[in-house]
Amino acid sequence: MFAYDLDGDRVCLAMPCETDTLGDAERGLVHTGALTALIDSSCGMAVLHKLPAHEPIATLDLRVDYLRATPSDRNILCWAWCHRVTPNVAFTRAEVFLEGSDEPVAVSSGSFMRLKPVKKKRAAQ
Amino acid sequence: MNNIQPDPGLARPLPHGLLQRIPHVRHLGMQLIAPEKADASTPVFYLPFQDRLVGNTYLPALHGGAVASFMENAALLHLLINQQGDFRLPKAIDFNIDYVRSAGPRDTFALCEVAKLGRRVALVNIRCWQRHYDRPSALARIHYLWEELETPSELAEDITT
Repeated sequence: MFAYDLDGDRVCLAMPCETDTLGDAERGLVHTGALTALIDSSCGMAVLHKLPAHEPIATLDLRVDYLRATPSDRNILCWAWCHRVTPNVAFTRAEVFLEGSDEPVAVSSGSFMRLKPVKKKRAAQ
Repeated sequence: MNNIQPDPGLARPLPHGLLQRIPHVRHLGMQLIAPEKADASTPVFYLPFQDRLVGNTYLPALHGGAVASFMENAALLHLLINQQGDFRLPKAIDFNIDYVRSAGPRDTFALCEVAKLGRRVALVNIRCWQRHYDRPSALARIHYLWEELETPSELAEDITT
């Protein structure tokens, strides 16, 4: 996969369709597991993009809805964004499209742990 | 069914027909350990460690996507493994994964449990672990749209005649 585009807080990674990403060779459909991997990477990227400085993060959970079967004739784009950051956790959303299409093939929400929690500053007494 | 720690040496490759149908499974390099060899009641899926599966070189840890894909495939194969002859691949509806602890750069196992096998939908729970079954790396659940094979073809005949 490779970096494809950036729009404000939104990052986009692309995955070219290869034989290795197929989940149904007869019908030429992309494997949903490959989509999950793309989503996980894209959401992680969106969190890193949102945070003020680079820090280690780890996926806490990820939910993916596979809205429709994904043909393998075009690049697959995953737009991901981080809509909320707390001292410990970052929350993400993602949508997956075929290149040149406006209909998402999958949507996802997830959360990431910030491995080095930021301590809240206490107000001066 | 605690402390299932199969010997990777007992693993065998997946059936050729399945690998042909699902190239992504071949790409991951998954293998299968028969239930009786793993002292389990269902097949244990085995993902040998490979450098290319590392997603975080800082920890280091396996890529979350590789773990997710492995678990998703384990569920799919768990449903398919007993299918004879021609079969239709179930379609994934949704997938939920919780990463409980990081998966280190070592061999990984997965075990599935079919929580519900309805006429149209199957729900499969998947547990993924490395060194201790009781210390899972990730827990996941997946819904499949599941079309029964024999019945629909008869049904189709009934409808068309």
